[in-house]
Amino acid sequence: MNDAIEVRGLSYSVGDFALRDLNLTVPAGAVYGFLGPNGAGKTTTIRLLLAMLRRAGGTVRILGDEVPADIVRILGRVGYVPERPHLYPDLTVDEAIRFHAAFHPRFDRAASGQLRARFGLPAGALLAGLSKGEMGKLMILLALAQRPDLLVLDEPTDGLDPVVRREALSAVLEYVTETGASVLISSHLVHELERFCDWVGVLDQGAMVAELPMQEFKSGLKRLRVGAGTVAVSPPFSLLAREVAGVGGEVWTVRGWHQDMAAWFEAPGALKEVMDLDLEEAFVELLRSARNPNWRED
Amino acid sequence: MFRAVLSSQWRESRLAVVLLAGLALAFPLLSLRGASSASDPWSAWDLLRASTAWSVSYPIVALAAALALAAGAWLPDRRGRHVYALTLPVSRSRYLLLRFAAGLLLLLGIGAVLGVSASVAAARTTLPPLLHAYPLGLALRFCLAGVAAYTLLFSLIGLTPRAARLIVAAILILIILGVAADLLNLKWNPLVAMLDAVFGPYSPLTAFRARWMLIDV
Repeated sequence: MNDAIEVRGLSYSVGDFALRDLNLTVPAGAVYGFLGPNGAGKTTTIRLLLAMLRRAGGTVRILGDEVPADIVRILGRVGYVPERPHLYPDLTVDEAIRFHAAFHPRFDRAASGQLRARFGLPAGALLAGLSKGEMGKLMILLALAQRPDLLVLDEPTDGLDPVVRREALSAVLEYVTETGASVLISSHLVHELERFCDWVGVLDQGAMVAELPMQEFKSGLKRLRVGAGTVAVSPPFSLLAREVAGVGGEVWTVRGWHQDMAAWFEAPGALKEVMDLDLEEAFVELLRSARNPNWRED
Repeated sequence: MFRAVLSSQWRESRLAVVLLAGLALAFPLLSLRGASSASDPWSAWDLLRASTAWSVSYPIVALAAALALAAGAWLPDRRGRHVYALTLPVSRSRYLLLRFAAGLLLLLGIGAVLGVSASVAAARTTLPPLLHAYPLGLALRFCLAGVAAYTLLFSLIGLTPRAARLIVAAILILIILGVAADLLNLKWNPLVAMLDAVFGPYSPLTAFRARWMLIDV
């Protein structure tokens, strides 16, 4: 089966910002968390994927079709929720749904009615008068009701309260479970994606820092508490960070860790504890090591 | 699809459309109000004078309608930085055409209101010999001028900011050259030449320079 999104050597620049030789693969059926700090280039990448911007180089394939040559067909199969509301504020909720439906032949009016009721969106309310949460839910509604094969969600829950965020993400998860659609969801709210994604890509300063299955991302990253004076010469893992921790000890943040590697610590008692990192910690350490690739040398 | 775009265009411009259609309805009727009074019917001179006086108002309505509808066609997408339009599964040229056609239809609607109103006003007026009513001609002129202005404004408002800046810069340069040519008493003035070209006999905007008379010889 084709990948849902396949990006090779994507490059683009505007002002001081540049995307450099970006590769990105969203496997079919995957929920891909596109992580990165603010300004990393996530939104720009998404806009390049959907041909809203013109790339300087590279190739993009979405759902097996070429961008930008087949963009009209692609957009018919992609549900997109942008970072900022983009709908026409003079329309009512019902009119916005009708407008969207007119352009999407697969639009499911029954599903949109159910989602509208579930989200508690008033049919006659003007979009200009909707709260941020209501607008966020409406954008999710439109994206889901068009029955897409791929959902591209650009910080869909940014600025929303936890209740709305949970409602919106639940609806997306249900849709994905029901249809097997693929999802690319960008966020800087790392913890939000932890229970949601099965792949993760980390972008920083316009470059892809890591792209791997979520399980691997989480399991290979560990924090090791080691004794003082432990020397890290040619370790079988990547040492991302080392910090002095209290008296007579250090904490190492490592990547590519396996249980068997404990044997590498020859001195008895050198390795005191192996601690799991949550996604947010792993993300921060990954960025730290990417930005300072040489500082971890012994 | 067209209905959806038309509906969004109507939402955006409905106040202007209703107001301008109201004016298009009122002006011909007002211009000939009392012309066929049983006690004091208007003379040919009165009719021509009234027609001339009101003739200025029709191109203004046409221009205002063109401006309101061209702006209304672009504003919704401009507010959202065109993101929504760019993610609809329709080619950009087709989407532009849909937007253009929606505004055009509303503009022609105002023209139709003017045609009906002018016809009613003319029908209610007893014309002296040698004078004729031109309600359909007036409506047609309104539509032609309106379409020309709407097309031009639709194109200008749809420009990217960079292109718009270039055009403004070009106009400023033209004005400066025109003033310089005037000061130097040159025979050829680029500003005058440009205005002649824009409103000249072969320009689509020439309809604005014509006589917008409901009653004429």
